[in-house]
Amino acid sequence: MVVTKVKRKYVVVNVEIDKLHRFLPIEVRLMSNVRRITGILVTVSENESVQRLGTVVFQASDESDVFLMMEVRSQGIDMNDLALSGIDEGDFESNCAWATGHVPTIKRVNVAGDNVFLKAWFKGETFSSAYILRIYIECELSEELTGVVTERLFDADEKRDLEPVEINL
Amino acid sequence: MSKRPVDKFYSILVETESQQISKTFILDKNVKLVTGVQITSNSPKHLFYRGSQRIEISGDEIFPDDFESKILMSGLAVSPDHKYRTLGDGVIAGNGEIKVQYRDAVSANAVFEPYKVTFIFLCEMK
Repeated sequence: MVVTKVKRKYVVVNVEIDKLHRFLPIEVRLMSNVRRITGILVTVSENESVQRLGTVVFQASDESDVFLMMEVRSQGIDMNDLALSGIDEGDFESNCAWATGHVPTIKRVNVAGDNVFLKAWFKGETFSSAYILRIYIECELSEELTGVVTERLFDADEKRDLEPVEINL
Repeated sequence: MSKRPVDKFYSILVETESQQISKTFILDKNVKLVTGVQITSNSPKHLFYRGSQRIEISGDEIFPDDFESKILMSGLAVSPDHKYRTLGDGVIAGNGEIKVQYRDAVSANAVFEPYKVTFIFLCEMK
């Protein structure tokens, strides 16, 4: 019996944003044996602004499908009630992502077909200081052969059951 | 009855700014599969804003270079069963080697001071 395995890989792309881009095309080159794109995430390096910085739109290679639009926001701090009220909670940091668990998570997508080149474009909305946009693409590769497992051999008792039986009519 | 998964802890110390640390950890021989991973620190702020790492298990790249640590972090408010980042059906332990290349980057949100990074792997035993 042939045993195969499907591997998942991540491709990370860094894009430097040094000014307000109304339209910035991004082309991501994936591995040639990518069978399916299963997840996408966009993160931002430090940025003091808590506003929405822009959006990133993703399009599949067949140029007919825009399959995902992701917001680009600085991450790490949630605006909770304590922060809005101006209440000092000392070192507890209850509005921080490492306390709330609101860390960046990969968004699940399902894009099959030939996607060696993935097209995206960044539409900037606000800009205060330079930052790096980091795009993560989770891909499923073609099946790989991991090994061959010998099939179960029949023992003597089981073989007897399979032997032809003479029937006298 | 299914076996209880076991947590394996491995730590590194980041002592200088922009330091790059390469470390190889060896799993127990009884580990069959690695099913989840989590990263934590005694200073989560530094790990969140400054950390990135590459992780390989038994020669198989799991997370590439520049994979930010914040994605593999969890939080106090998250229930224990959901703290781990799952690795699909699990990664076979193979020769039991876990290679980690951690990099500390400059960040205006977290001024550098030495901190410890802990990698926690959820393992299925034989």
